[in-house]
Amino acid sequence: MDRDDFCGNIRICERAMYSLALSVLRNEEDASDAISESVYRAYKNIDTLKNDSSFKPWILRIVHNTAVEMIRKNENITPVDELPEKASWKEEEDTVSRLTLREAVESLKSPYDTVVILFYYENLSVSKIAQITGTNIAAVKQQLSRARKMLREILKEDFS
Amino acid sequence: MNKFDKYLRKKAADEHFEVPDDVKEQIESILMNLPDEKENSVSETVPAKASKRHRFHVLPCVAAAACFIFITVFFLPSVSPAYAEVLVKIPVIGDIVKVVTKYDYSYTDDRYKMEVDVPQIEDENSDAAEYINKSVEELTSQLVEEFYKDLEKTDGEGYKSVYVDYETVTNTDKWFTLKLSVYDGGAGTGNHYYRYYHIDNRSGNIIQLGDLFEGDDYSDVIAEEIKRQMQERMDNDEHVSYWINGTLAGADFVSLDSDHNFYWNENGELVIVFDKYEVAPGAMGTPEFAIGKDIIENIVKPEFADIIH
Repeated sequence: MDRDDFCGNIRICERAMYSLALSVLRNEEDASDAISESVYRAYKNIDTLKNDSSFKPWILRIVHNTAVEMIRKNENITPVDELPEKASWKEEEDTVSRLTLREAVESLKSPYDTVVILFYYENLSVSKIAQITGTNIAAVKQQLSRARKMLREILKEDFS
Repeated sequence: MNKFDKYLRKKAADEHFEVPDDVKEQIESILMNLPDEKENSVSETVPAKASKRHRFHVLPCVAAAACFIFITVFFLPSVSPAYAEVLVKIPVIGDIVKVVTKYDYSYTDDRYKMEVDVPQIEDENSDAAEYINKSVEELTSQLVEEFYKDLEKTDGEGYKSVYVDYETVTNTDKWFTLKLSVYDGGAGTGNHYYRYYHIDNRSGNIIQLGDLFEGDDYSDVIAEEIKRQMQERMDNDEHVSYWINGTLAGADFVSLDSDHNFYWNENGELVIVFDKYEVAPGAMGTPEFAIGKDIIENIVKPEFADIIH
C-alpha cells in the first residue's frame, strides 16, 4: 500500500477511529492524540498489514491499543474505571425519550460503549471486534448482550 | 431482542455523527507530513507540531529516557483473539537482556477483569531465553484460557480477576532475573504468587535455587534461618503470624525445593520469596526473607560466590 492509498484509507476510517478512541479515553483531545499516534504507528508498520481489505480492523486495533496504552502509561489521563459516572439518564427520565442512541451509548461504562459503537455504528462482526479489543468472541457477545439490556432500559420509552 | 436489535441498527444508521473539525484538521496535518518513503524518514513518534499538547504522548517520554524506540505493529487476523499478539514492542536499550511485552490480554466488565502482560526475552540464540519464554507463555495462556472458560461457564454471572505483570529484577552482565507477578482471584479472595526466572549471563544457563549450592544441605540451612526470622518478626509484632512450630495443623510449612522462588537484592543478599498462603495467613501477603551472606557463603558454589560479595 503506498502513501496515497494509506491516507485515503485513514480518511475513510477516521470516524470509526475517533469514535473508538473517544469511547476508551472519553476526552476529545486525548482521542485526537491517540489517533495521531496511531496513524504514525500504522504508517511505519504498514508492511505488517497482509491484506489491504483488512485495513479497517487493523487500524482500529492499533487505535484501541494506543488508547489503552495511554491510559496505562500516562498518569495525566484518568483511567476509565476511575472516572466519575457520566450524567445519569435516570436523573432525566422526563427527557429519556429524546435521547439519541449515541447519547445513550455514551452513558454506558467501558467496554460496553466500545462494543456497541463497533457493532452498531461501524457494522463490524463480533469476531472483528474481538480482534480489535484483544478479547474473544464469547466475551464480546457477553458484552453486547449486557449493553443491549442497559440500552433497552435507557431507551425504553423511545423503543416502546 | 431481535426487534430491539433492529431498532438499534436503524437508530445508528439514521444518526449523523461527524468527527469534530479540529480533530479532522489534526489528522490531515499528520497525513500531509507523512514522508513518501516511510522506511527512510518516518519519525518514531508524532512530531510536536502535529500535536496541540505534549503531555499525552507516551512515546516521546520513553524515547527521551531510552534514546531509541523501536515499534513493531502486529495484527493477526486469523488467529484466535485470545492469542492476539500485542501491538507494541518496546525494548529498552542499554539493558544486557532485552525484554518486551509479547502478548497483552485485556478484558473488563462489571464482574470479570483481566490484564495479562506476557513478557518475552529477546535473544534468538539463547536456549535459556527460549525455555523461559515458553514457560511464561504456557503459564499465562493457561490463566487466560481458564478466565474465558469461567466467563462462558457462568454466562458472565460469576466473578473473576486475573492480573499478570512482569518486572526485570536484575539485568547485569553477570545475572538476569525476570519476575512474573500473578493474581488469580474469584469472588472476595484470590491467590497471589510470583515466578522468578534466572539466567547466569556468564554461562548462559538457567539457574534455579538448588543450582547455587553444593549438595542438598542448603535447604535446611536456609529454612532454619527463615524460621528464625519468622519467630523474630512474630515476637516483635503481635499482628505478624507465620505457620511454624506446628501452629497450623502441626505441620512445618517452611520447606524449600530446588526450584523455590528467590532473587538477589541490591545488597547481594539471597531473598527467598513465598507465595500467598504458603507459609502464613493470606493477610501476610507474599513473605520475603533476605538470607545474610554469612549464612550461605560456606555452601554456595564457587562460581556464584562473587554474586554475594
